[in-house]
Amino acid sequence: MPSLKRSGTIGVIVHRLDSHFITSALNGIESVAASGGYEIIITTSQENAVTEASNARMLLKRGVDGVIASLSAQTKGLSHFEDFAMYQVPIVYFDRVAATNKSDSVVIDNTRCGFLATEHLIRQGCRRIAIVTSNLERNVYSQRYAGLRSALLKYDVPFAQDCLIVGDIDHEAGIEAARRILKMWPLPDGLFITNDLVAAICVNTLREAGIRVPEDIAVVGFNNDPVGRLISPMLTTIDYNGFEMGKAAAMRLLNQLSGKTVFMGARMKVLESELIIRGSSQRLFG
Amino acid sequence: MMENSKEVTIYDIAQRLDLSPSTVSKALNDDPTISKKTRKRITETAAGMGYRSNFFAKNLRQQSTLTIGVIVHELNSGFTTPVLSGIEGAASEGGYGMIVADSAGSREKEVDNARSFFQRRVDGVIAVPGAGSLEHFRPFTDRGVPLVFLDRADSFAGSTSVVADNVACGMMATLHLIEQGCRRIVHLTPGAGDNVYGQRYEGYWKALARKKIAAEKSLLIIAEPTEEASEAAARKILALTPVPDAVFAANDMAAAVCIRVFQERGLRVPQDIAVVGFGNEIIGKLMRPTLTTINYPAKEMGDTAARILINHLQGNGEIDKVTTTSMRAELVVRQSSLRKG
Repeated sequence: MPSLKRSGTIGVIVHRLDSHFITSALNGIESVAASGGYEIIITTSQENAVTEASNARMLLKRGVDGVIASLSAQTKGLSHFEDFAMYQVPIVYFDRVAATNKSDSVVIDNTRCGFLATEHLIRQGCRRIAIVTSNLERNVYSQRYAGLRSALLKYDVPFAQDCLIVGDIDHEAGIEAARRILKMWPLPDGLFITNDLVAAICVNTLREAGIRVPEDIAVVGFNNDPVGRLISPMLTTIDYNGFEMGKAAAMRLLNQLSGKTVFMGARMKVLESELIIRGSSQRLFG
Repeated sequence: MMENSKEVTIYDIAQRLDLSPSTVSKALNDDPTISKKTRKRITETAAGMGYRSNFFAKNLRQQSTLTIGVIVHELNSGFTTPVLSGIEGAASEGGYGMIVADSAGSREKEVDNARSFFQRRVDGVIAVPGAGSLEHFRPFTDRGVPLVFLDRADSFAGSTSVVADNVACGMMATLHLIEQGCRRIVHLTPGAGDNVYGQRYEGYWKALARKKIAAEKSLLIIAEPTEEASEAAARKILALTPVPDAVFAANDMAAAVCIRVFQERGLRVPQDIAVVGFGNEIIGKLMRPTLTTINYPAKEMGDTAARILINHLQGNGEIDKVTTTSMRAELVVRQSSLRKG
């Protein structure tokens, strides 16, 4: 196979830009790419599968040497990325990756994180735990949900169907989730919300309705977004280091591009993540 | 081979000739940096492979290949994120793609980004430049590629600007604090140079002058808008003697961090120290007290810039005829600064 000479650019496809996690990941990617002599061009799908596909086409036509991508909430399958393989342009996926992936991926152990978050709520005495999450066709959300179910099973805590709340991850989603929760009977006593911004907005809305956090409802978020440290009580969360993930993804891509590693099949790199306990989930026992 | 069933791309041509895709791309666009001989070889090979030379034509077929290149000064800032959202929305609506390059606060990188976009043929450019000369953008206008600057009023033929009145923003925030009874007002900012930050500082200064309050050097605190730097700045503010009675911060995150530090030290906001932020970020409504801020029209600026470009590219409005667009910001009063109601 002939090797194509470098155009010196890496294309990045992210699902949104208004996210601390994503901007941290982009910083991580940029730091590694710069030291490898690559320029980055960034595209965003705004969670839209059609936009993601046209971004992919656009990057291919622009002659990028490699691609780093996190999938949109709507994306089904990876056919819109097939052309990259045909032209031997390597892709490394991160964060939101496809289940049946033949490429390199960098992820965290979402299932374990969901388990830890839920186990923590159970240990705080919660017995009716609801999850506020997003499209379950995306690995990050389905795995966190699976972790929750697995913890509930282990500790013999029942799960009611009305405790699964699925929405977007925009500002409205937090308000919507709070409204649904307020209509639940009985109210849940624990909430696992798989996005800190949604969690912060949800908690705010619940508190405006007179619910006390953590006394009435203990809450765990996800991402360790700075927002969680600026509200009161501060948000218990799962640390999700976007900068490290961006660096790891870019390193894997650069290694492939420089021939240091030869791609021989799908590989997944799993980064560390941990539960950070703060005020939103620590209940007072008498 | 692929040619018959799929559109021939520059990759195919590059592979055939054992050249880089960017060289092929430049040649097909008649870039003079490629020798005439090489250009001829490439274009002849392309033609022979069935490459459709109107690939870069402005007349679209089913799939738009028109691209707006955006160069941002800093990727993570409270300004950039809504700007990109505004651009992306308008671009998407118009069937255009958007690619973003980050200058990471460096002028050198900005120059590189401009060159790179120029060589890679974007159809229109929106730039949030840093301070200093804009000459590195001239190749675009020389070639007739429309260009819109954000947050800079300078422009030359073939470009235009979309700005907001930053001096007025600084004045609004500061006058509000003075009206609430504050007299010793800190301005916390990443810089006060020849850019929007400097203009807001000018507004702060003018408001003080108008109300006959002497400005003090020690009340201007320069700090990066990171969590750590904002914390350090907050401690510095509390170490001033006498302790200030107000802070006007250049962004909401810095304001929120300051408030957290003040509260940890037992101070009440706004009663002991009033705070105004900037940028109307979501945190402002979620924290307690809720944060008074300036609603800077970043998303609208991005949207406007994109529409100007698209109108020009579609032949509906020559960019040269568009004068600098100035958009308005407003003061959003919340709990963190209301001492008098």
